[in-house]
Amino acid sequence: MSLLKIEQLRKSFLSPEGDSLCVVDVENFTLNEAEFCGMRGESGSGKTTFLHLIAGILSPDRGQIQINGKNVCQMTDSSRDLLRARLIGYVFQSFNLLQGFTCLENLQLTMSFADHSNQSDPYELLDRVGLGKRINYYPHQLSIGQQQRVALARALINQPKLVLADEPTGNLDPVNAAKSMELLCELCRESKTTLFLVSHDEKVIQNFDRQENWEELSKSNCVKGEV
Amino acid sequence: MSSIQALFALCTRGVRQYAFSSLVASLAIAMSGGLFLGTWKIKEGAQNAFTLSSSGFDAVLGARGSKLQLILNAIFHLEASPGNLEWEQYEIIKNTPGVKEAYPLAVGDNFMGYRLVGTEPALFDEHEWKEGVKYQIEKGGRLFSSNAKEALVGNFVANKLGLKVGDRFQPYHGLTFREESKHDEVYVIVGILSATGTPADKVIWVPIKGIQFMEGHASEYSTSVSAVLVKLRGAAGFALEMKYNKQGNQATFAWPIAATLAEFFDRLTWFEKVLEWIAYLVGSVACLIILSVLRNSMNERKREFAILRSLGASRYFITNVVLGQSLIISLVGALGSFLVYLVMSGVASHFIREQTGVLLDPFNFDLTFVYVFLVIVLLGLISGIPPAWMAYRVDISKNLRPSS
Repeated sequence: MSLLKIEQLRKSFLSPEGDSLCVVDVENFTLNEAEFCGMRGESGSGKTTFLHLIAGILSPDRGQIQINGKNVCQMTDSSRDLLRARLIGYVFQSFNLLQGFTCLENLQLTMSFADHSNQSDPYELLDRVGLGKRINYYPHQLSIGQQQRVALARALINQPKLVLADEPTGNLDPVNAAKSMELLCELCRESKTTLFLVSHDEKVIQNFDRQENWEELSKSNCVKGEV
Repeated sequence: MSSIQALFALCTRGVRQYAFSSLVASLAIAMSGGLFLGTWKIKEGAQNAFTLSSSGFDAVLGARGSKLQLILNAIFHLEASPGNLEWEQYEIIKNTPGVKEAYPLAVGDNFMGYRLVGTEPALFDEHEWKEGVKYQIEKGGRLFSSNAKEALVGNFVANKLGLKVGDRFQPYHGLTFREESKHDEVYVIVGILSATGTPADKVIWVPIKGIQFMEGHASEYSTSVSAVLVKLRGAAGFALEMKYNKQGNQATFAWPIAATLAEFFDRLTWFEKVLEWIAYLVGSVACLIILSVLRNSMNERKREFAILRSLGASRYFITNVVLGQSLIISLVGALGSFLVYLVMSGVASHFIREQTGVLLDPFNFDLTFVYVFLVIVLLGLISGIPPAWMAYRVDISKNLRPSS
């Protein structure tokens, strides 16, 4: 059964010269429940924009995005916020941890937005990612690899149905990257969470049974750059 | 962690992150609120206290001159006497129908800067300085005799100078203390007046003959008085005012005391206005500081807010974080303004007590405190609206630094 269903999705931005620049143009894309999908694509090709559209952070120019049978594009702002809190976990390349809060507080804040009973125990989850003894550490007191693990725990704390991972190993060394990928897949597998990961790193994508190419999926006329 | 706890955590974290600027904003609010409260309440308190401190008298009869000067001299023992009246004038008014009580006063000497006021012992025996309350003399003391060199010391003076029953002193000539102008007469203290919180506490009471016949005083002193304190019966004030102020030219009848004092306080309105405008100015600066603190923090917190939004926080939640931050700053400022007020009014009431003997009560609760508190908090919240609007409009995508 499909968890994510995308049809005729299109998103353009205005270039500095004033031209319309299409960065996402996806005809069809689906993800099934508990499916793992890795998508490769060059930096600056529009992958992050695609993930932002799925998460409801950006609104498309046209098209439909259905998550768990609900059309994200027709939702109000606050419904999208709630959907993001309850159904989607997001792992960023730069982790985006809240620097003024401890590991535990980063998780607890995330839990407060979803506010439902079906949430993991933050202590157990931090223990599971190997940070049980560092729950009161602030992000700057942790190594990069440890910060990444907090980010993984935060993405999974609300037991989402879909985890979106945007270059999650981009800032890690090869050893930490491999460990981190292993942990992410393991956690998602255990909770039967759908994982959609985008990366420019071929080694990361090769771990996935289902592999997609962004350049084939999106027929956009995007030029390389920060989009 | 509930939403409310999360909100509180984010607000307090924001204030702590910008602790110095937040503190400056709170201090500015405290100064402004305190100044405003102080100006208002001290003036109001002083006006009430002075009006109530007329010591149970309705009018003062004195030499031709200013009514206010007469009242300040005879009731509050401030300023110089405008001149003397013949003893006969005292006798006339005392026997006028409609005059319930009349007591002569004579001034012109001091001890260590505190005035000696000569009067009749009947003032302490018969007069009620507050409805139903007569002057009391502290245990172990008694009232002075009208023919002896005895003194009854006001409570404030006794405490200040450490005087007690049995002590002897030599008065000094004039209303200000000059060491070289010591009189030869020696007075003995026979009693200490119980505290009244009125100007009576601030003087040394002696028999009127003591002042009239003090060695070194001019001979006309012996047949004159500085003023007469008058308590009226019924509506006699109108007739007496007509008699002394409109038809006569020998004396001034300062009546009614409260109205004359109100005129005096009205003359101070300009000063009150200036302080009020200073308070408004400081208040506006405080609001601008809040605005600036939150706006500057917004520039740095946009990323934090974008992360929170990406985790599912609503626009309203983020807006409330900023408003909550301004609420905390203004609450601290509002509480601080009461501290500033207490310090200001404490200093002012000490000064007024020292100068006039009148006791102010700065702790007297008034609804004004509640209104000022609410206005400060409201203004703080209003100052938080522009940065809160910026927070509401934070573009998540732009501030999350897309990386591919």
